[in-house]
Order: sequence, then structure tokens, then C-alpha cells
Amino acid sequence: MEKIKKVLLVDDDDIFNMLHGEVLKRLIPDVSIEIFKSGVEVTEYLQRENENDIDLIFLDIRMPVMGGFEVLDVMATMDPKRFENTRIYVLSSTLDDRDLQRAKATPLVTDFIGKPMSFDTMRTILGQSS
Amino acid sequence: MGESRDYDELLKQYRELQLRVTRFSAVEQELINTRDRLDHELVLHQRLHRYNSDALKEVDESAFFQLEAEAIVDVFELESSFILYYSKETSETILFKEGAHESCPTEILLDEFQSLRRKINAAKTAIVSAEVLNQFSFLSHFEHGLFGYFSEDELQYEVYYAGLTGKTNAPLYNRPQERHLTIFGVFQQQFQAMLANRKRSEEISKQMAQIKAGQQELRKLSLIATRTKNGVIITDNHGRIEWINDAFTQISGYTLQDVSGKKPKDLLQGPKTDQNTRDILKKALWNKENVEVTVVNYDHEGKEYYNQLEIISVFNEQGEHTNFIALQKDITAETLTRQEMIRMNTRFELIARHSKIATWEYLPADGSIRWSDLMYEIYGASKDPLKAIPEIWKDAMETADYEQGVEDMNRIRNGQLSKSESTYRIRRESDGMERLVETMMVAEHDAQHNLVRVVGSTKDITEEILLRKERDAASERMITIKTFYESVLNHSPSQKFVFDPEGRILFYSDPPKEGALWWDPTSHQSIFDKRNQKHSERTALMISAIEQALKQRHMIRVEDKGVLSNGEQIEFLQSILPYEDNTGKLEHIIVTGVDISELKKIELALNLKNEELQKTNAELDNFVYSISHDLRSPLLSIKGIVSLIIQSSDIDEKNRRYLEMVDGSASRLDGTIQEILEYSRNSRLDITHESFNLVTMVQEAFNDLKFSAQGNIQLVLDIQTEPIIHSDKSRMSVLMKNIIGNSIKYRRKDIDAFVKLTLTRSEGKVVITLSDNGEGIDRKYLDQVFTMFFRGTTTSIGTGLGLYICKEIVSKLGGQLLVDSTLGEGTTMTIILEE
Repeated sequence: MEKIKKVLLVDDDDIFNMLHGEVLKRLIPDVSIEIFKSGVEVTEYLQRENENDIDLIFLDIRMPVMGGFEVLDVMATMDPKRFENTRIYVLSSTLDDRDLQRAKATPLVTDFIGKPMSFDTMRTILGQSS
Repeated sequence: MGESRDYDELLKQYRELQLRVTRFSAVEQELINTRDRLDHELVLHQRLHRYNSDALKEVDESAFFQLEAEAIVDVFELESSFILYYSKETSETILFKEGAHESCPTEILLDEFQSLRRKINAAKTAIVSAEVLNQFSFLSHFEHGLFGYFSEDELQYEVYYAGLTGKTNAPLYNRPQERHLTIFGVFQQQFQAMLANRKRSEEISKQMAQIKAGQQELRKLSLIATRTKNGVIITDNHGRIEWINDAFTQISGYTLQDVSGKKPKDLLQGPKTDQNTRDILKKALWNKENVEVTVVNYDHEGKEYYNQLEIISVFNEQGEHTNFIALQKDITAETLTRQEMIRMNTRFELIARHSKIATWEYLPADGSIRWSDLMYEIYGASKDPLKAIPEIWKDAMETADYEQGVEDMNRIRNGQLSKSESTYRIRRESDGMERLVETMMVAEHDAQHNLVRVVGSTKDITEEILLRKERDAASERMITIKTFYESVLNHSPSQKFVFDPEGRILFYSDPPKEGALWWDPTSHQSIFDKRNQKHSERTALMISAIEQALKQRHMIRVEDKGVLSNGEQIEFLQSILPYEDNTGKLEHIIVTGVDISELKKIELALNLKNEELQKTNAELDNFVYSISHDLRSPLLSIKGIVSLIIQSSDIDEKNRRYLEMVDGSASRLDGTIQEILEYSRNSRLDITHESFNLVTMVQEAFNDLKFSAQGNIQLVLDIQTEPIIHSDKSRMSVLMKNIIGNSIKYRRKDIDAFVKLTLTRSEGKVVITLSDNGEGIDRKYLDQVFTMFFRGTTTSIGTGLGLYICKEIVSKLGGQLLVDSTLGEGTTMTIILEE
């Protein structure tokens, strides 16, 4: 697997952003992490920057104003080539089965992960053995 | 010169003169007399002539004779006359009289005239003196008379006639003299000639009439021979054809040219012509006899036809045989019809025999009775030559019925009845059983209305009557039941129509509400009749639903909306049942309408409520999810931070243990939140069935749980049946997760832990068993494990909700959840689901 260089963390909860950032940094110390506190922020960023070097996106579902699925809807309207090499994980503390089904049914989404993300899960995602 | 001489001469001359004068006078007188006589005769002739011309004019015979009788009296100036005409042919005498005196005989007999004729010696005419007349009593009072006679052998008659003057009046009339005989002779000649002429002309006209009639007859005959539809062949005396008519050509296809000079038998007979018939014909022709036969003949093209043949031998006046006339009638059609009738009759007899109808006949001519074999069978009698049929009959019959039967027969015999039908009670001779027989007799008359025979049919109807009685009783019961059901129907709030298979109404129950009917029950028209019917939209919908039900051959239900006379809307649920009998033949169409207006209103309210409820439910669901999410988020962030700290290297053992306790508490709280959510969802949400792979579901659940528990445990599969099951997927998922979660949670860490899934099916049920070799449950708690908030051990890390939720889920799915466990050895959970 290619080396992970750039990761976007999207969650309205600062603790989770911090937590996931810490886990990531411990496993890949030189990773570049961009943190967004809402769906609005990340879509504005994606539309503005127009970059195609994002390796991973961790996206929370339930966020005020604009949730994770709305973000995915906006991304689906963008040039698909931009996200060819991007893996997108949907994160949530939801117990609603419908969210899980919807995540799995969205082509852009690689997988659904229940919060909180443990070191083991992150290692699996990054292709590292524990 | 002498004077005397002169005188003498003179005297002599005078005497001479006188003599001459005298002579002359005598001559003169003679001349006068002759002249008078001639004049008289002339007068007589003139009279006679007048009479003759009259007589010639007369046509009528009696008038003619009467005229002749008058002529005798007038011409000869006599008192009276007789004419007696005698026909030798008929031995008839007719007497004509004229100027007859009272004393004149009213009847003169032929033999008297004949003997008079002999007396006067066969003279044709004679003057008869009183002397002769006196010799005949019937002429004795006559003084004088004239008598005449003539006869004609050829014309076979004799005529006697007489002119007479009676003694009393004799001086007043001419006395017939010799000279009268001449004229009398003339009279006779003329009389005879005229009579002969009359007779001859009569004969001629008779012959002429005969000839004319003969000619007409001949013309008619030839017309008939030509025009008749029957074939006519005329042959010479050797049987060779001289003439045929058109009809013969039509029948046989032969023309005169074809057949002239040939013998009919050579042309017409063929292989199917009966030899016996040929012989009869041959013999008759040989003997020149008339003959009539039916024979199979062949036409010009060899096609056979039935010929009714009559041959007449013709003889001339001299009795010589001259011709044969053969009359042919093509009776093929009649013969075939007759043969067909015979066949039909045979068939009828066969049917009669098969349907056990016995037949008999009675011939009044000789009083004989004939029974068919079946008659003997019905009466149980044997064909005993010593016992006559009437006797068998009388012995078998009930007395009263016998008398009735005899009376019926007598009435038929004397023409009072032409047909009779009766049922008789008889005692069967063979076994003494009482039987009922139905007898019908019919009189057959000929064209003159004479009774020719009486034919009868007899049938044993004992069993039939019994059956009929049973059937009647059954149908009476049916009527009672029908009345009962009809009254039930009429009192039920449903509206019922029963139609026959043609769509005509048979029955309808009183409508529960005025104006609610979709069909006019008084209509005689079929509901399927498309003519002259303008159906309302409602009726048209109902009819099309009925047609659909008939097509599908089972009951269908439709909702039907009507409007009452008061404008109120009414709704029916119409059940349309095509009612078929055992053989699948349509018997009735039963349409039952139940008033569901109220129900509909309730349903509508219910639907609204339901919708509201569903909305509330969905809101509640979202609310629960949101709450659980919002509750979990901080909890999970705590867990995350705790795990981050634990992962750090710079932490002492004591703090690590505290942190692990924080993590455990957070996990338990999370478990509780999850379980409350599951419980709430299970109790609220509808069951949705779908097909899914249970094994895959168990594997996924196992992997997830094993991952989060980081435990060392194996999943063992024992799948003996199709892994796809049909159930509520999300509930089953919760159920599996809970049970497997327990197995993982309470695994024994000192041995190789496992959880085993066994899947079997039996009697339409799916049996899912999850067993483990974990800690197990103390037996004393087994009946409490499914109680809410029950926890088996004080060390339990559970919430006390897990198994309670499992039990709730299984009971919601209509299944059974069984638990078996041994402390320290393991637990087995069995789920039995109806599929």
C-alpha cells in the first residue's frame, strides 16, 4: 500500500478529531492532517483547493447543518478522478442500521466504522500489523 | 122425200142422242165420282201430309205416336184409334189412344192384337167388319174399323194400330171402304218409314254418342298415359315394346328409340331383381294374365330403383290378345322410407326391450292377444299353452283394477275411447310380489274407422314410484330448508341476488336499505343481455366483476358504491360466487352484498390514526436514535481518550487499572444504551420478512464481536439444511448478536472456547441452536434468565436486558426460545421459528 501522506478528519466533536489525529500521528508520524468541524467547511475546502492527493477521509455522519451524507452527495458531483486514490471512511456513534446500510450503498465510501476508532482498527485501515 | 123418215131419223137420232146423253151422264157421273173420290183422297193426302210434316218435326217419341193416333182419327174420319208399340228388345208395350169413347178399353194386350192379326190373315192392312170385331171382347162394341200392323226385325219392334168407330156412333162416321185401304196403305208405309227412321237415327245418334264418348275416353287415356308420372309401356302381343311415355323415360332414362322392339325384362332386370318375382312375371305374361308386383329394376345408368309394376293384358273385341300395357311406378323413395320405418320400428322395439317396456296387441277380428316376452316377465308368468293370456292377466290383477281394465278395453272396442292410460296393481305370479304396472293402450283404426287392433305398452314402475316418493319427500325437506334459509337471508343485513347461469334472477333478499340495489330484481332480462340495456356505471361494474368471477371460476370480492334515495352514500362488499355442482357445471351465481358503510368510516378513521401513529413512531425512532447517538458520543469519546492514555507508555500500573475500570463502566453504559434501543425498537416496529443467509449473519456478528472483545474463541458451524431463512432480518441480527455476545462475554479463558451454530429444519420449523463451552448458568436461575434486568452473577458485566430482549424478539416472531445450561460446562440456546 502507498504511504499515507494526507488525511482529512471531519467531525463536529473536537475530542474525536483530536483522538483520531493522535492515533494517526502515532502510527504515521509525518502524516499531514486537515481537520474540519463541519460538512460545510470540508465541502468549501474541497471546492476551493481542487487537489487530488488526499489519501484518506474520515467523515462523521451526524453533524449540524451539513451531515456526512450531504458531503458525500456534493463530492459525487465533483470530478471522480480526484478521488480515485482516496479512501473514505464513514465514522459514527450511531446505532441506526439505516445509516450503516446507506454508507455501504454509497460508491465513494470504503467502509463504515463505529466510534471510537481503536488503534487496531486504524492499523487495519493503514495496512499495518499490530 | 119423207117426213116420217125424217122423223124417224130424227127420233132415231133423238134416242141416240138421249142414249148418248144418258151414257154421257153416266160417264159424267162416273167422272164426277172419280173426281170426288180423287178430291177426297187428295184431302186425305193433304191431311196425311200435314200430319207427316208435323210428325217429322216432332222429336219426342210419345208425341210422335200420339200424332199418328190423331192422324188415323182425322184422316180416315173415324171415332177413335189405338197404337200399340212393342219392343222385342225390352218386351215392353206402350199404348197410345185417340178419341176414345168411355167404352173404349183402357188396356189392350199384345196377344189380343196378335190374335186379331192372325184372324185377318197376316194382312198388313185390313178393313175389319163388325162380324170380326164381335169375336174379340175388347172390340165387340165397335161397328167397323181399319187395322194395320208392321214390324222391323232389325230394329226389333212390332207396331199394331187400329182406327175404329163404335156401334152407337157408327152412323155419324165414315164407314171404311175398299178405297180407303190405298190411303191406309200409304199411311202405314209412311208411318213405318218414319218410325224406322226415327229408330235408326236414334240408334245412330246413340252410336255416335258412344263413338264420341269412346273418342273422349281415348283422348283422356292417351293424355293420362302421356302426362302421368307413372311410367307406361305398351308392347305388342309378344311383349316387344311399341310405345313408352315420357315418365318412363324420366324414371329409367331410356328413350323410345333405345327400347323400341325390345323386351322390358332385358332392359330393366338386374342382379338384385328377385328370382321369385321374375318367375311370377314370366308366368303371368305367358298366360296373358294381369299381374302386379314390386320389383327391383335398373335404369339406363345401372342405378337400381324400386318399381311397382302392373301389367295389363289387352284383348280386342274378337277376344284376341293384342297388347300388354305395363304401368310402372318408381317407389324407391317410398320403399326406402318403409325400410327406414321398419328399421326405426326395430330400433323402437329394441329401445322398448332395453327400457323394460313390454308390448302387447289385441286383434278384435279374432279376439286374439299377443304378448311380448317382457310381458310374461313383468307378470312373472310362464308361456303356458294351456293358460290363456286373459286368464294370466285376470289372475294377476287386483279385482278393482281388473274391472277397470276390462271396462277401458270395452270402451276402446266400442269407440268411446281411443287411448287409455292406467296404473294397475298386480301380484306377480312367480314370487307373489305386489307390483305396480303402468299400461297404455291405443286403438288403431282403418280408413273406414273400423277398429283394427289395440296395441298396448306395459312397464313395471314399482321401483320408480318408490324412488319418486323418496324424491318427493326429499324435495319437500328441501323446500322447508329453502324457506328457512330464505327467511334467514331476508333477515340478514346482507343483500343477496341469486342468478341462473344465463344471468336471470332466481331469488333476491329484501334489501336492507331502500334504493341500495345495484340490479332491479323485477327485471326479466339477463344481466348478460347487452341489448336494450343502458346500465348505470355501478351496474356495469358489477356485471363485469361477475363475468370475471365466472371466468376465474371462484369467488371474488368487489367493493360497490351506491347512493340511497336520500342521497346518502352507501358502500357494499359484494361477494360473487359462481356456484358449481359436483361436475363443475355452473348452477347459480350468488351475489352477496354486505353493507360496509359504517365499517368503511371506521376503517378510514383507523387509517388516519395509523398514519399518525406511524409518523409518531418514525419520529420516535429518529428521536431514540438521536438520543442514543448523543448519549453515546461523549461516552465513546471517553472510551477513546481512555484507550489513548492506556496505550501511552508513561503510565503506572495503578493508574492503568483505574483507567481500565473507567473503560469498563463506559462500555457497560454503552451496552445499556444499545439494549434499551433494541428493546424499544422491537416492541414498536412492525415485523418485516425477508430471505437472508443466517450463517453469513452469524459469521459477521461473530467476527464483529470477537474483534471488539479481542477474545480467543472459535465459531463452529453445523449446518444440516438450507442456510437461507425467511424472517425479520434486523431482529434476527439483534438476536444473534446478543446470544453470541453472551457466549464471547462469558467464555472460559482457561480452555479453547467455542460457540457452535447448529441449523436444522423439522416439520416446517427452523431450529437454530447456539451452544458454547462457557461459564454456564446456575440451574436455579435458569427460569429467571429471561426476566427483565435479571443478572445471573454478581460478577456479571451485563445489564440484565440482553436475554429479556432475546425472549421478546423470539416471541414477537412467533417462535420459541429455550435455554439449557450447566454451570461451568456451557450454555445452549435453542430458537425454534415457524417458517
